[in-house]
Amino acid sequence: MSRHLIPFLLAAVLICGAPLCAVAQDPGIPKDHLFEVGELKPVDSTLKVKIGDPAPDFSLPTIDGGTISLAQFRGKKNVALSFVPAAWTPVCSGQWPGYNIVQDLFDQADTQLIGLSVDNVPTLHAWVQEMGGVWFPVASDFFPHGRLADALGILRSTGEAERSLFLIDKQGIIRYIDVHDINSRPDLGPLVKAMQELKNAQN
Amino acid sequence: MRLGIILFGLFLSFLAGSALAMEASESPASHPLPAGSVMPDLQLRGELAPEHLKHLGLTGQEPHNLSNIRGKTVILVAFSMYCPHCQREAPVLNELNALIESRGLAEDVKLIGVGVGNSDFEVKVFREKYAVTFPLFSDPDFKVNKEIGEVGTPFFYVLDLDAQKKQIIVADTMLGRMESAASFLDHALKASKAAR
Repeated sequence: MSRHLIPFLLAAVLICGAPLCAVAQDPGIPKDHLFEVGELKPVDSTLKVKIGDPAPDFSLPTIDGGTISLAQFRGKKNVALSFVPAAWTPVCSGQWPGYNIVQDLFDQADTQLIGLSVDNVPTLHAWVQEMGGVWFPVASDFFPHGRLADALGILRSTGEAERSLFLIDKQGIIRYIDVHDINSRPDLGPLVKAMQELKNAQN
Repeated sequence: MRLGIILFGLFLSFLAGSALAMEASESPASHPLPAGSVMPDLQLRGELAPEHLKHLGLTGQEPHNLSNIRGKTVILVAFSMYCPHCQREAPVLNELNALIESRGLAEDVKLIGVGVGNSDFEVKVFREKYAVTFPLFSDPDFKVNKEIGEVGTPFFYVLDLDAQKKQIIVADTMLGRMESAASFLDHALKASKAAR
């Protein structure tokens, strides 16, 4: 970089108020980029697991080009799975941006959050990028289609996953399940409470 | 050097472009109450700090009626912990509240937030994360948001309170982030005065 450029860049940084800068990096998702789904059947699947069951293992591709498995957290961290039904839909687009500001709550509870949907990796990648990115890994349960969702019993008849939360302890045992009405966002409170209780029981 | 000027220009135009984009999580069903109309006497709930209740002149058990807030103008901002625009607006809202105080308007002008679709827990997360200095109410079942027209977030209502008539008049509305706290406050005060 030319040395002459530095004063200009400094000036640019000064002129640009912090909120403007944040907007420039993170435009959010405009309404016309989202697909309106209307009101859907609240739950359209039957759970195949219950609290106390071992969680099905998985190894899924993530939007950063890696893979993530349940086994890699065995004995190390609790795992929270947040399934959303579909990228580019309104309620889903308004769920993970909330989780994005509470990394400290997950860290304090010794819990790794993983976001999932049955969309393929490029779609999930584009959607999360447009959200402005998130701190937690986002995995694709695309192929074989919804295999993990189906093993948990949250694959809807139309091929999407339910809007659902699972908390799995370090031994791979399911400790909390919330298969939520697909049309609304779950309250963060009960999940955080369950995470803290699990952490406290482990100490 | 010339490259520097060009890059700087590009940078500025990029900023201007992004500033023009709607900085709000829009709501497809939105039908805000127009300026000049009567705002229903909202029932407000939430876990408010004692100093915030005192600041608003509210006593007793919740729900609190909007009309019981002590002041001439209420600036109500509908927000959500889940809305990235609101997350970015939080420091500017604190700035707005500080401005109301530093201009000696704190008795007459009250800034309040309503977390639409947010539980008490979610409002608490927002309050603590951004060290929010003004009172925040929760609206877990969207009851308040239904009354105020299922608005997107952030959404601003400037309300004029007529204590005698117990009537609340919508003086102005705005969807999306403020241009600046100072310009917004000037505009809100003018609108509130004109509504009287």
